[in-house]
Amino acid sequence: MQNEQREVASNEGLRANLKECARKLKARNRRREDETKDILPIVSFHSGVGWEVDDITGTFW
Amino acid sequence: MMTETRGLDQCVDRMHEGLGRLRVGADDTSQVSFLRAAFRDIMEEIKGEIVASLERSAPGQIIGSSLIERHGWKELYIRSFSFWFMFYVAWMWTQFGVKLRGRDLERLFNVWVHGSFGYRLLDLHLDEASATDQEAIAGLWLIAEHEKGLLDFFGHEQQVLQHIQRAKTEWCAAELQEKSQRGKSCPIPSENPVACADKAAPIFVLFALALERYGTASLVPTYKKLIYRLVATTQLLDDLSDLEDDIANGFFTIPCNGLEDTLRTLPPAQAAGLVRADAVRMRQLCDTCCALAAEASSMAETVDDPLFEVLAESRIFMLRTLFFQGGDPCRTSSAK
Repeated sequence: MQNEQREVASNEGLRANLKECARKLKARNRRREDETKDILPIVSFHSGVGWEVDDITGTFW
Repeated sequence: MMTETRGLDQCVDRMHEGLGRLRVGADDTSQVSFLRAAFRDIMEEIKGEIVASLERSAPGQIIGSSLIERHGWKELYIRSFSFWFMFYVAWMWTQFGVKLRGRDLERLFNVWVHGSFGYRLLDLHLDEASATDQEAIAGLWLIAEHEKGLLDFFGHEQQVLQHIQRAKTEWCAAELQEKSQRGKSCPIPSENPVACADKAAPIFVLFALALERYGTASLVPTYKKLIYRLVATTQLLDDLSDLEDDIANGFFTIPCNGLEDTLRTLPPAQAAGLVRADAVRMRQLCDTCCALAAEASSMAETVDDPLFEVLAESRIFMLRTLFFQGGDPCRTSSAK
């Protein structure tokens, strides 16, 4: 690890933005949970190819 | 060697620039789109770096381009690998303030590539018989290179060796269990779906060793639970996506639980259709995945890790969209 650089102070802004992002997503997810709690899902699928909407299993965010 | 590292450095710089565009005040969908763009925009460059890394490896030089030209490697698998590597680099930055650069970045990248593709070759050989005997041996060779690279990077101390051995043991046990149940039933009990992530132990070891070196070693067990839950959600979606191939090869996964006797009498496509058309089963699968991701989110919050917390919440966001809307909420966003 000869070239290791530590810049702890300058990642604080990003961490704060990520925390706000998590907070908003959490609120959104709670709303969606309520909206979908009494319904059954429909799985859109191209048989053997992948999710119809996107190759979603390879998309992580 | 300078030209080899420059590409990776540029990728990491671009990812950091992308993460820097994440802004307070943007709506949740836009924020996810910014995150996604920060990773997506460098996928092609990462792919080139993966190919170069494999070509530089000793087994890659001996068995040639066939090692990196296997069907499927250039798409989903590469995207999955690329995401986790860049996530790891971003995590080192957000959690420990470590910016990997130059030779260190290249060494760590090689460790990831050798491990991922070594285990992948064994998987292809054992599960689908689509890798040759030579490629399976190349896989073992790559895994040996991966383990040596881990020791060289993180140090030859006893606890580093223990982490590596533990990961290998866990992977072997999961593989043995899977193979012993081939053609019979799902090896993962319904009440413990997170066990389907055990095969990801070689990925987790990289996070564990970073925690040992830069963070708090006592958090390793919590991170293991957290990461395995996220990996399990991905694995369950993969299982749903791969039903035809898995059933054709005699593997019953969690979406099939309880239906094995019926499914083995049907052609794979029909069997897969039967599973996916079972709305109650799909509801249970969605709920299981969301619960695992929610637990991961809660753990991430506990250890003050906002990057993992966002990843976990993004998974829930995406799961509900997939199962209940049939659309990707970020595709229409204006974020590039």
